[in-house]
Formats: sequence, C-alpha cells, structure tokens
Amino acid sequence: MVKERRGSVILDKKDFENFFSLLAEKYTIFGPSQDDNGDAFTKIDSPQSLKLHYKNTHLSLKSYFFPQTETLLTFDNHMKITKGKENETEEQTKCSILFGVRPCDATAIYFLDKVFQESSPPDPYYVKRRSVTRIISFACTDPSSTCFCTSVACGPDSEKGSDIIFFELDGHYLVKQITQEGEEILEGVKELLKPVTDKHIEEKDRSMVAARHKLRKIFEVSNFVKKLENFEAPYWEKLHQKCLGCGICTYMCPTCHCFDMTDEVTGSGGRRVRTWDSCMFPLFTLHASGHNPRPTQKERMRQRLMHKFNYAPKIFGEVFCVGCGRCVVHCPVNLDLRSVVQQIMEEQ
Amino acid sequence: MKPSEHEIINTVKKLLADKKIDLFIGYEQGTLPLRTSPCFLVNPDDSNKLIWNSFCANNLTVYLSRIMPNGKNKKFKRIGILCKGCDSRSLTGLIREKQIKREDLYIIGISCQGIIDSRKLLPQLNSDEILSIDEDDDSIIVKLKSGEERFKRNHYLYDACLNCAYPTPGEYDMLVRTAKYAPQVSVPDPAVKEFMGKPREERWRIFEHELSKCIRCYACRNVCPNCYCKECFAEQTKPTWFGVTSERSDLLFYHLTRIFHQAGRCVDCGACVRACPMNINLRLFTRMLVDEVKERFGYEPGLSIKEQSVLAAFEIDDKQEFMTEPEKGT
Amino acid sequence: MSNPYVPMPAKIDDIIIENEARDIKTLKVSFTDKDDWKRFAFMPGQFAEISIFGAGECPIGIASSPTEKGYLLFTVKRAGLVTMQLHRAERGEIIGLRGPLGNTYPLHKMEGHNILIIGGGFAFTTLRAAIKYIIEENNRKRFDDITVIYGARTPGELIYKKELWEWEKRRDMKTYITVDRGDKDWKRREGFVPSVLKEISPRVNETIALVCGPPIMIKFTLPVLDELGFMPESIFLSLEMRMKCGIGKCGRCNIGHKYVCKDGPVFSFAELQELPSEY
Repeated sequence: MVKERRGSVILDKKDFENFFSLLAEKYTIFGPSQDDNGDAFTKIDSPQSLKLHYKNTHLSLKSYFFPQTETLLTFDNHMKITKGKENETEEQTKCSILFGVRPCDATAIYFLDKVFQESSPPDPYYVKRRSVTRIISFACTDPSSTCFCTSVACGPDSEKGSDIIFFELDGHYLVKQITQEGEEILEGVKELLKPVTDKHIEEKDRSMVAARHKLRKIFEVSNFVKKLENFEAPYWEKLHQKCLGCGICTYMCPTCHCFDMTDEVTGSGGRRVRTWDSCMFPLFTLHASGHNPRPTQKERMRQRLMHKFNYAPKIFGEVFCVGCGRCVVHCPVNLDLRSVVQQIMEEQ
Repeated sequence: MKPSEHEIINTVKKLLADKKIDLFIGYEQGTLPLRTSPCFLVNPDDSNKLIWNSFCANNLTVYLSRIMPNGKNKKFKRIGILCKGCDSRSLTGLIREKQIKREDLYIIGISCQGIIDSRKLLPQLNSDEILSIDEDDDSIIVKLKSGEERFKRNHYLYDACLNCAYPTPGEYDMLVRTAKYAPQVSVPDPAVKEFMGKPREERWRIFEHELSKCIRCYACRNVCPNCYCKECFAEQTKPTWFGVTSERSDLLFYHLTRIFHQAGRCVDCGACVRACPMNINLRLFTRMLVDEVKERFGYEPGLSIKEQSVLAAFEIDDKQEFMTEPEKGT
Repeated sequence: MSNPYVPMPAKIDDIIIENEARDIKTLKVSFTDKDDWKRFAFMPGQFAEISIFGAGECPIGIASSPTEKGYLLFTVKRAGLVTMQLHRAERGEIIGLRGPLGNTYPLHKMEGHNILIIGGGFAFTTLRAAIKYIIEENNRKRFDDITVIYGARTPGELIYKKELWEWEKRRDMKTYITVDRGDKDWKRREGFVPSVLKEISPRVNETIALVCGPPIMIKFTLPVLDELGFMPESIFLSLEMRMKCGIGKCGRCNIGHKYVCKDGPVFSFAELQELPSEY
C-alpha cells in the first residue's frame, strides 16, 4: 500500500524554536498561551509561551474574522458618510498566523468563508481580515469527553480551513501542507524540514485511530439531516422546554454567524455597527407590525437546529456544526445538543 | 436511592396521578459530569426521572413566569415545583410582585446542604473518567476509574452557598428534610466586605475588569427569576437607552442597570454566576446591594409572602443621611 | 472590492401622503451622484434598504418602474423606529439607499401570457412597479390581457389613487377597484378582494398571477385561485420579513432554506409549498 506522503514533511521537536523564529520574522503569530492556560489566542513572542497541549479555547476563532462589535460605517451630522471602507486604520504590513488551532475551529472558519467570502456579495470586512491570516492547526490526540466532531463529518485531523496541519509524533511533528499559502509558509522554513518516512505516516495514522476511538460516534449526521425534513413533527413541543432563550450557545458556537445592524448617534455624527445576534432571542424576527413568525421558544429552537442541520446543507452543502462541544459545556440548563439529536432520531 | 429522592418521586407521582398538578418542574440527571438539568413532567410514570443531590443547582422558579404569564395558563393550571431555600425566596418574590399566584402552585420544599460548584470540583478529578458519585453529610464521594476519592463538601460549595442563611424554604406545601444542619445567621458576605474595604479607584478597576469579559449573551438576565420583563430595557428601541455593542460603556451601562434593578429583590441564589460563560463574578456586585438593603432597611426579600417590596414603600424611620442641605454645605 | 453595506445618498424630492390615516407616505427620491443610477439598475419586484443615518435601515419595495426615469418611489408605512423617522423627513433631506436587492417578478416568463395582478391595501407597492412596467408603450405588446384587482379596507386607504383612476380609463387593461366598506361618496364596487376575484373569474389559460397583500387577504385569495384552476407554478407572491443586511448574511429573514432578501421576496406558490410555513 502506498502511504500518502505528498505534501507531508517532518519537523524535529528540537528544531521547533528555530522554526518559530523564522516564522516570526515574516508573520505575527497568535496562539494558545501559557498565561491563560490555553483559554484564548494571544500574540506569542516566544515559543515557550505557547501551550500546545490544550483542549480548546474558551471562545471560538470566529471573533478574529467576525468580531462581536464592528463599525461598518461612520457618518457626520449632514448625513455624509465619512468612513465606509473596511477598517482602514488596521493596515497591516505583516500577515498573521493563527498557530495551534484545533481542526474543528479551522473547519468552522471554512464554513464561515462560505457565508462571508464565497456568497455574493462578499463581505469586505471579513475578507480583509481573512486574506491576511493563515491557519496552522494541530490535530487532536486527546479530545474532550464533550467533543463530538466525528458525529458531524468533522474529525481530529480535519483539514478544511487550515493552511497547514501539524501531527504530534514522538520527538517530531509531521507537518502537512494543505493550501498554496501553506506551501509558501513552509518554503520559508524549508531548511528545517526533513522528508517523511512510512514509519512516520504509520505513527500518525495510529494516533489518529486512537483519537477517533476516544471520540464515540454518537449519531450519523446525514440521517439526522433527512429526519429534519419533517418540519411539523410533534417532538418540537417538548424539546424546547428547558431552554431559557439566552445567547450562550449561539455566541460560543464557531459557526453561528447571525448579526444585527444598529445606528448610534454621537454629538458630531454617528456610526452603524454590526453586533452578534441570536435566533434564540424573541426580537430576532419580530416585525414592526407586532407579528412574529417565531413567537415561542419552540419555533426558535427548531429554527436553530434546522438552520444548522438542514438548511445549511441545502444552501452551502455543509452541516454547520463541527462538534466542538462548546454549546454542550456552557448551556446553563444542560440542554445537550447530542441528547436532542438522539431523542429526535429515536422518534418515529 | 436516598430517602429524600424517594419521597420526592412518590409525592410527584401521586400528585400527577391524582391530577392535583398538571406539570411538575424538578431536576433530572445531567449529561455532563457533576451536572443536573431541569426536567418537566406531565406523566406520573416519568417521575422516576427525578433526582435530588448536591448538584441540583438551577433555580427552577425562573420557568414560572414564562409558563404562567400572570397566572393565566390554559394548559397548566396548577404547577408543582421543587424549591431549595434560595429558590423559595425567589418564588416568594414572584408572588409578591404579582407574577404568579400562590394557589396555582404546589411547592415541594427541600432543605439544602449547599450546592457543589462543578467548576471547583472538576479540576480535582484530572479528567479521569467518573464511574459514580455519592454523598454523605460530610463529603462527596467520587468513584473514578483510578480509584475512589473523598472531597470535603464545604470546600467545594458555590460562593453563594458558603454564606447561606436560609437553606430551608419558608413557603411550601410539603417539606422534605435531608439532614441535620445548623442554620447560619445572616451576615454580610465576607468577599463583599473585603471588596468594599478597598479604595474607590481599586473597586472601579475591579468592576471594569470583571465586566470587560462580558459578551452580552444575556444569560445572567435570562436565568434570573426576577428578570421577567416582557421587553428588557437592554433591547428597547423606543427609546434606545444605550448601545448594543460589547464596548466598555455599553457593558457597564447594562450591568450597572441590571444590578440596580435587582436591589431589594435579589436573593443571591447564584444563578447568574453559574450561567455566565465568561466566569464573571457577578455576585460580588449584586450581593453588595443585598447587604446594603439589609443594612439600610433591615430587609431581606423572600422571607414571607405577605411582605412588601422594600423599594416600593417607605417607613418613617428610613435612613436619610444621603440627603444634603445646600445652605449648610454637603 | 465594493462594500455592500455602504448606502448611496439620495435626496427626497417630494413627499405624497397616500391615505386618509396619513400613515402611508410615498417618497420620491433621486440620487445625488448621477453615476449611482447605473449602479441601481433594477426591475419590478425588487426592494432597497433605506437608511436614515442615526435611526437605521428598513427594507422598502421599489414602487416605481425602471421605465420611470429620473426618480424612484418608495411607499412607507409608519410602523417602527426607522419608518417613524422617514415620515418625519422633509423635502431636500438626504437618505441612503442600498440596492437593488432581492429578486424580481418573473417578467420574462410573463411575456406572451395574460397577467392577473391582485393587490390588497398597503402591499400594492411593488405591484405598481410591475403594472407601470408592463403597460409602458414599448413593453405593452409583449404581454396579452392585463387584469388588475386592487382593494383596501376603505376608500381613504386606497393608495396610488391618481394611477388607479388613470388605469380604469385605459382600454388595454381591465382594472377592478374595490373596498371592504365604502363611504357615502363611493360609487364603485364593495367587497373583499377574494370575492371580487371569484366574481370576475378571469381566464386561467396562459395566465400568470401576481399576488401581494396582507396575510389575511392571501389566505383567502389562494383557495379562490386554486378553484379557478390556477396551478401553483403560475402564482407569484411577494413576501415580507424582518430584514437587516438584505444580502443573505445576517441569517434573519429565512423561510426554510431560502432567504427572503436574496431568494425572494418574490416566490412562486409552488416554491412556498415546499418551504415550512413560518412566515
């Protein structure tokens, strides 16, 4: 059997510091830091500050490209638009690398690209940030008990959204180039890279099999997508009861992208801002006439699940869930998406 | 199964079977370690799902004003609910503020030994697989894959529980007693006292720092039984009170206003802190007002259904030292 | 890269009060930058997001046809924060326009067919654009018989009165105006739009119907069309939804997997039958 070696190289762990320094000359590097225990991505100045053995960040990566609050345009008192272009003040001369991203979060960015970049018209604010950012992900060897990526067609070694993916081996990293931009990055460090051998590939495959073994496959997402075709199913009546209608699941989710646009006025003019919004809030679809197509939590919960698991596949060809488990961990009433899916699958 | 759990299940089964209640809100096993989840029962046979342990954290009364808007619910005429001490004070508050009617409820009260903070206990388990959890008056006994470990209960309680003076519900139709305990005297919270002892600039710095983590998910509001407004001030557009962003001034405005809306009403159940995904110490500030109201007006909300809202009434001997007389100088 | 969130400035040239209750106004606007006319090439059925800086945006159907040169008409009902400000606006004020957004009435498909236009109340706006387009001198011969049925609650609530009386007089189209309840000066017919439709019983063969009205009118009109023999593929509706971005990104206006701002607001009844009825 010919083992897949194309695009893969080896980096010895002892060369990691040099690798980092070479990268840092050309790119600004962000990664999980020792200071927050891997809770967030911060600017990394030295490889010792990196905490690569972490589960996942608290908030997802979407804030880098689609921040909570974003000024779309500013205007003066005479209704003249004074700033309408994508964030001009954030001119960067150096590209950034998000280093050590989990494959689920990188896949989520791949989905958000479909919404903001590939769907016409493209969103200039997102595109500007995305075009100057590269993603180097780290395959998961020790998933959390709340991870369920393999149930949603993602995985500990998913390559979507990443430019390069690292696999940790004993004493080395297996580094796989995925995109053109990834190739450019590796060009700059090629003197540190060694050719990959079959043994390395076998070691990597074994670690991924072990990781997948830890990730129990809870459901087969393609069956769930089909099950959801029954919009008026009776099980929606009970599933929403615990839900308090807060925005935690939406805001923590790496693929949720709903937003609101609001005008603010200051003395000398004002601005239009974009902020995160959630379909779980009652005001989300409230018409000025008072009519609300989704009047109760039942309709809103159904919308959230349908949008992720039935509408998104029809619009973008992808289920908008990467199984990161943040919604499961942070829901204040422990309304577990995994149980909801299982309950629905069990219904007639 | 503990006797208290048994008692709850049998009572609820009978209540539902005899049609004395149409719905029961209690706790069921959660899907995550050290978590439980609210559960809604209409079928007497489902009563076996109910549990009671030191992880039953949620304040279930938050559902009452949603399910029974102003006491007019056609589907569920009488609702049964399981209340700990703090929960029953929230419930009394809802009755006091005319959001629900006492006669529409069947309250099963349960005296609580304090709820374990899973965020404090979980790191002690080193991600080891949990096989089972048990508890006695003194400890939580966790059977891990690597062996059994005992954790002293008092070291892992929620901050709100450490200072709890009312663990037994005051208002109930039936009371389930769990264990012997010595009720505490209501005292000002030590953490708040320490905070108030700091200089003003330091207090503001701490306040700003904590709240800068906020992402405006509104979980603190949605999980609070006192936040039942049909249209929250945070979302009004006519007029727009403040901005919708996650920038400093908007965050401070939202939280300051919400905290003050709780004055004289908050029972310090801790639901807001538990819900916050960013681990903001919201309790520090709401508890500050709880202690201040007690000090100024000798009032703690939720102790009797006959009480009046403290800020909706006044007494002749209310302290007024903050009033100034311009001629005499401030 | 052009920024789809930046509106084009337009001046309010005229304001027409459409109804007796004075809560429906038509704004006649023109772009302050002449080049923006090219960027705003539109067809009947589409809408624009109108900006009042400081209040926000709202999606309003374009009531004028592209055959009407030099101005755009937007008919606005005062309902919420932004429409309230639009109503307070005066001649000469600058507003912002983002568009054209959404899809159009299926005018290509409608060529060589009879057209049946059914409108109710305030929702007649984009139908006015369609009618003006179809009866325009150079376009008229491409379409066969034209029937317009339009009704409102009372005579005072009829909008575009000037056009309605002109259309009544034309011989190349049949216009039926009705009200639910007339007043002492009302000499035309009385009756709900669905009943008038049943009474008139227009030709079904080779006919395409455009329907736009309040939900209650639609609810009773569709069964009548079905009785008359119209196929769902030949009936087109224009829907309303709460919108913000208007370009299918903010996730707010979806009905099933279709975004009303992008895949609509014009949908065939056949399309709607495939979607969840959550609107």
